Amino acid sequence: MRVLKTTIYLKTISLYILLLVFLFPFLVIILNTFKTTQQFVESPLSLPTRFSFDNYGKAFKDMDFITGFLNSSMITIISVLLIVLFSSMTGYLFVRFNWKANSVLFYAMLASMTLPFQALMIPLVVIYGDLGLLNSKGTLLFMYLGFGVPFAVFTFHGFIKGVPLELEESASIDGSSRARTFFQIVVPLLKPVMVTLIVLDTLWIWNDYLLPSLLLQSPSMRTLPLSNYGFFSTYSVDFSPLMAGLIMTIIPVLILYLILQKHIIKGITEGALK
Amino acid sequence: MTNKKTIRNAGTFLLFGGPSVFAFFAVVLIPFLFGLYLTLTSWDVRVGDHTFLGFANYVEVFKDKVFFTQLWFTLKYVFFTVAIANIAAFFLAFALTSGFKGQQFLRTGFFTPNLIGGLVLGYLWQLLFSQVLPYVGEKYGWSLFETSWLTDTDKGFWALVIVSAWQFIGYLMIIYIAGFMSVRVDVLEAASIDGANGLTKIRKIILPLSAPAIVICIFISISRSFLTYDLNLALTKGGPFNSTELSSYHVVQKAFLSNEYGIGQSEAVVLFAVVAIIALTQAYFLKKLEVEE
Amino acid sequence: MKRSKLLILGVCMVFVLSLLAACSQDNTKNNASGASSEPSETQQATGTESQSAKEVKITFFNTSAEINTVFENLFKVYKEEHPNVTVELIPTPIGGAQIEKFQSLLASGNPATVVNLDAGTIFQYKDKFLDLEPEKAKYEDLALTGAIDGALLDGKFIGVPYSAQGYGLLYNKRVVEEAIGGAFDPATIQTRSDLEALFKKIEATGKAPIMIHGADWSLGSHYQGLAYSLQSNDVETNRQFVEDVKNGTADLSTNQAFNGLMDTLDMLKKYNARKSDPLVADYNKDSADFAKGEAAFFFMGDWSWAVIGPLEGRDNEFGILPVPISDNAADYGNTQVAYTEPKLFAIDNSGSTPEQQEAAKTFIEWLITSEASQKAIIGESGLAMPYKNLKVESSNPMSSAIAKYVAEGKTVNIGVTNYFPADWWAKTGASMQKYLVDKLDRAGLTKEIQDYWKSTAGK
Repeated sequence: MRVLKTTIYLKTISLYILLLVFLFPFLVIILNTFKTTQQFVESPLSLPTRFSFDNYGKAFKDMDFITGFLNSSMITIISVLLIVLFSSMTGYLFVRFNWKANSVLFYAMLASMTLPFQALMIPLVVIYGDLGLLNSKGTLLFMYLGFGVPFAVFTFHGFIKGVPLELEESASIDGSSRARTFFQIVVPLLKPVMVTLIVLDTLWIWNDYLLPSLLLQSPSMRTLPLSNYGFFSTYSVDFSPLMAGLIMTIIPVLILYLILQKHIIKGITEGALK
Repeated sequence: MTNKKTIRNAGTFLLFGGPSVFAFFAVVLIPFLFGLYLTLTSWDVRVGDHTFLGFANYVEVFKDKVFFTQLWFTLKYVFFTVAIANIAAFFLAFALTSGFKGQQFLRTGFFTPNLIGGLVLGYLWQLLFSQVLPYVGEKYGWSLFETSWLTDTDKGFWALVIVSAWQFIGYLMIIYIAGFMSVRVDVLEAASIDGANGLTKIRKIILPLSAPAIVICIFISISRSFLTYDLNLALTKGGPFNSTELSSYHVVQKAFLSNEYGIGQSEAVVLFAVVAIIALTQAYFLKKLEVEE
Repeated sequence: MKRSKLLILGVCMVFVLSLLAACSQDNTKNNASGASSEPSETQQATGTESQSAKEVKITFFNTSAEINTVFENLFKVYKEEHPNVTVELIPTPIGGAQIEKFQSLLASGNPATVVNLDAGTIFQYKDKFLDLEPEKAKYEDLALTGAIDGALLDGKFIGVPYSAQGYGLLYNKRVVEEAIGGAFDPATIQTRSDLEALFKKIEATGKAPIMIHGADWSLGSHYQGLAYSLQSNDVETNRQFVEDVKNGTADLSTNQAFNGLMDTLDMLKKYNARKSDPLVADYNKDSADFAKGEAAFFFMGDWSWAVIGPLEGRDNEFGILPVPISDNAADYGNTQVAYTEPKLFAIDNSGSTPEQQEAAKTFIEWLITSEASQKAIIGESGLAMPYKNLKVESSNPMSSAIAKYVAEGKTVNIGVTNYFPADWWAKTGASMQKYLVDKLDRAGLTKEIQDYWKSTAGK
């Protein structure tokens, strides 16, 4: 018994050490947000001489953090909700209706997950530019829906396969329609997968740079990554405020992740793996 | 009767599939097809006309030796990244489901690289490789780190693999953990009673039962590592002397820097075909294995 | 049963439609460009005529990322002075897909009204920009002699220069003077041997004589670019030389300027501060080490002041020497520093309205002549403006050193590189990097560079 305890103890310790090595780059970031860029470049590993929050102040001001935060939140929340709502319905459709069109669509979506974004970039802006739909948050939301659907449908598809048909059949006998069945019977069962997708899609959209950079031009529409990248300059990078901006950018998603993490694993267990 | 059924089916389809399929078509499929059409023309941003060329651009692709050298380089990169990330994630997940205090914290910790995206992560690692590690290397006389990894053709390759794997591990680990959770509790307890030790447990029980997780993890890591662009740009910029250019990076350079949009776009299509074939075949075969077991 | 289905379907449709409506609404609000005819028509139809005629919004595409904030503040000042004109910045960070974004905007028919782009890029897209010929005389009056000529692309005035940069061998005066034990007169260094003799003295003090920044843009564009610019002091002749290289009638391997320049590189390599790891190319660190005297010389230009200026504990006095290419002091290039107007302001002519173009012209003139703008460009950003009667003085000692060469007419015009393909510096820069680390010998380097040129023949 004692031996067993020691092994567990050793294992835990070594895992923590591993984590420390693993997160070394992050520790370097956090350490250096309290130093000037010059100190960072000259001695990246030294401890800060004094804890100065100047970089945070500078980043907060230069990034126009509040505007960026509100824009990012709005875009992320709405896109994620759209993706989760419509993809769960489509996933359900693909599982329950064995039509040819459905399986063709499903495989098209699966294959599209291997498409490089750069291959779509120019066609995308040409088409939407001709339609006069650029420079708008609405278009951005719609594009996130389009790009988010394949992975989400794929995940829901896997999960719904595992939902026993009997549940729905008993509901149908009651005469409720497909849509009602879906929302009343199936959706409650989908919660864990939905949480997972919410987290994964939030991480993606929250940090995305290229798509909003193509679509949003007005300063008033900028998201956090757009304003954060202002610290990159032609020849050099002003690292310290950039890192401070980055820390401020990830805190909201970190919090979301901490709240939802228990459900994520549950979601994947019952979702994609079925 | 059939007519009525067709209408009802169409209604169901529109209701459940309508919005997402519409968005998928409008954002992914149609632009992709339009892009495909552009590869058959002489289209160029500067000129903007569409003269039909047929397959001339594709002929150019197959003449572009650099593209194939880099495709081979990319295949090597994908192979090592996928292998390292999956093996590490698998064992990490195994260690973090044994039910001890603090495993929740550790899981979160290993996941954190996924909270930051793209370029910034690349620049950070670039700094580590070009400054912090040489600094440490010089101080302690470790010749491995004395010069920057990013200025060496071979070490530059490994730098790319390590950073990519580092990022994927947390993501894949979560999927593996989920995979184990469904196996763990009941089966493993039974196995412990039978006196199976760690490795036997992995080989005999966990590996077969987590096959679905493996399929998904490999699919995700293959498609993602083929698409690596940001990291390549921030970490090595394809250097030293273009020796670490991955295919996606090459495609972008070709299309936008060299202004050979048609050829770049054609290369993107070829790349897509390669990735899709590899990712889907592996998924198909592993799925088949899984069913047979 | 059916009704509820229809209801949900209806809700979804309304949702999608309202999203699309939201898009076009946003668009009407924010896109006054008239690039896409539809939204601006709606705007004119719905907005009161008088208002929409007066209010102009122009967009400004900026590729000088280090001055994004400076520009943004400047635009606010402009708005206060010109309430009818709103200038909106489209920032592009380096590494953030600058050229992709520019092309995307162009391809989408929604281009930026004003761009701040590399002269070479403007030349590539010359048909998309407004001919500024009618404005030329005005700018010639304002600018330093030759500054407007230097910005002409194929003889046409389509971009307004706003900054001038010089590059060569920057030196840290303190380190050089400590090595020679007295005041340093840059005029004493006129040949490669002079320079090497000086390097030996510096080396003896334990400092590195020279810092070579191992990035492809520095080696490829700046260093190698000199080779073509030193063929003659006439840009057209130099262009012809490159054409000759392309079709094989000129040979770099026997070219005096090219070989002289590479011989100098061989010498510089011996004294390189980054000898042990030449390609590490960390711009912040290289600049800081030079500014603090770890290296006496730095192959770079006055733009590095943006990094060096704010450093703590740096030295104060810096100067510049040309890169010598031979041991004959009279050879062109030995006493002249490279000088260029790297970025130009240009006005879109592919999707902007005449009102926007007019507003853009006024705005560019304001950027060049107003005190607020000069304060931002010269004072805050440390750039040199190639104009007369400036209201703000530069605090950048490197620019001042270069200005002396400019005043004496001792400059090398590297305008020929504006006509090169966009991937020139990246492709040949890789060959230069190989040469720097001895993976290629001279013959190999020459061959790779010539092969590159031949591959671009006819394009």
